[in-house]
Amino acid sequence: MAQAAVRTAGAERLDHVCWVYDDPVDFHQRATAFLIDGLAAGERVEYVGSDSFDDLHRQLGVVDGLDELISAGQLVVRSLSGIYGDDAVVVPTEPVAAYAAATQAALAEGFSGYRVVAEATSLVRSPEQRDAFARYEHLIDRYMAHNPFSALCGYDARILGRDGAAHIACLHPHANAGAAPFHWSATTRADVRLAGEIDLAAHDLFDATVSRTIPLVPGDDVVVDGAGLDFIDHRGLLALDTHARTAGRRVTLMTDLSIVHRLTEILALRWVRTQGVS
Amino acid sequence: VTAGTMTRHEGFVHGVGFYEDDDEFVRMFAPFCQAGLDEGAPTVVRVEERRAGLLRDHLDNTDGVEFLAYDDQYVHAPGAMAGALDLIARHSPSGGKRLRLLGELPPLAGLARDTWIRYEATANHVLRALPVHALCPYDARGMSPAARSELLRTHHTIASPWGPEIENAAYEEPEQFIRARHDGVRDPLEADAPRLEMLDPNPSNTRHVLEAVAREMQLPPAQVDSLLLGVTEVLGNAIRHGGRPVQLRAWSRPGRVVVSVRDAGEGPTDPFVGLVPIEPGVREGGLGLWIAHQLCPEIALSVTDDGFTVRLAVGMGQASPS
Repeated sequence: MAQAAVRTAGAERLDHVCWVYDDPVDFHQRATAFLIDGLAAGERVEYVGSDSFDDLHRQLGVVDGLDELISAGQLVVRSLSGIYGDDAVVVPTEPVAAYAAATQAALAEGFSGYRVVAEATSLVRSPEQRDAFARYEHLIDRYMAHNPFSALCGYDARILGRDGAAHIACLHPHANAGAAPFHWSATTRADVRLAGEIDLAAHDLFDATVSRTIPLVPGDDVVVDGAGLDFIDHRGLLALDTHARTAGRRVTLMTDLSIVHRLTEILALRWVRTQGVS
Repeated sequence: VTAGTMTRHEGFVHGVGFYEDDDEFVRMFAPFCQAGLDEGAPTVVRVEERRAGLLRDHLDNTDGVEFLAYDDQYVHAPGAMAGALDLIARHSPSGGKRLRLLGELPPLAGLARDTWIRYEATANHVLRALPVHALCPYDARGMSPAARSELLRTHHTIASPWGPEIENAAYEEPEQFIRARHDGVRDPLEADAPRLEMLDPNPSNTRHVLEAVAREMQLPPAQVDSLLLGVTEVLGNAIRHGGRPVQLRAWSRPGRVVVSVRDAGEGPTDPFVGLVPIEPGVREGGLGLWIAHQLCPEIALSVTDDGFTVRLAVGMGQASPS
């Protein structure tokens, strides 16, 4: 993407939201509200989760005319239970292709878009699952930034732990407070948007995230919109430099934090350069 | 140059001269430059502008002397070390003549005394094999006995207004000198109760709290940023390498903030950490302190029975005497 494509700092995307929860009832309420908004907007909506079909159906109890919507094909309820084994590792590109097809089908049938609530805790329990699913989250996020497809992704902190869930939460442009120290997400203004803080508390997470996803960014020159970046220390910049080199990418980090320009200079980074946003 | 003084040193010769007025300054340091001219040795002077003028007035001709601009406001120790290495590299193939460098460092005030004394010792290590004769002028007026003693322990020779430099028996090998110092200097602000005290703080909270203090003290934004990044790097080291309990304290007055970070460790294994240039591409080993030294030029390291402490200060540096 051309560097000039980065414009002023804008609002973050709200079409791909992560919700890391301790209280399933609270999550079900948010899920329902998110789907109702989609129905009101004329979208086809899907509720997918690890619970049984009956449980998922029950969780949507407050939706008016639930069964009629299901019969009419505007609301899809899908249980992952029994479909994937306990340690199933997703092939990152497969669900992206499936959701792209579902979105195209919905548009073809006259819906205004496709909207999903996905409770995917069961797919990110082991390190291998998490690694693959993180790649999927970034790919689907890239698809979402440019297509009428949106998602609310729920993850159970009681099972994954806050640190485990952060590996997935940070790949969403928006997550509930405290779910991720930074966000590394798709944007229409650059190749990647980076927001939040990267310091000791986030080094391992940032390192893993960039390593997993920078090879998925198309093109040799990767423009990172850092307008929402509040802080990054030398380890964060070195991680970016290391993974850019490994992936054969040249990164331009757009930020108005003068200290980051200074730090890049001190470190004499070769694969990362910085440029002002404004 | 008398044979007895210099022949012992193949590589780096590091002299110090304590002057008390302009007259002593000229009598001590003009002959050093004049000798360079007489020998046909490359001769470089980097001293404060007015004092550079005094030397110009007292040299036969100044064509053979390179006068470099001096600005102690923006200088930091890693930059000074890299600058010295560049300068030496530039003059290296000079027909076997040893480079003469008359170089003034910032005043040894506040925490900067620790920074620049470590710099003087580290120069003895980094430059040891290089063909350089450096002489460091220091204004002795108001200098504390402790600072004077440390300067004597970090220089091979002493300049005098009456004759050639003499061998200095107080010199100590740099590694031994730095390790023996243990307890470092204090900033005068530390005499008061700390403005802020945090135990095992997380870096993000610390930045937010410190930012509020720094803004209230009306530090310019660039200094606020430098402080926040410097403290984050030091805090990261403390948590990763030193271990808990990590105690952070801060003192402030309008225009100045001092932060200390103490961990339970024994300090870095490399006594020269933070000051020696790091090649691009190096990923580990002292990067955090090397960066902190560049962002916060007043930085002091000390090892005590309580642990390892880094002190950083920004704003109105060198305002108070050591």
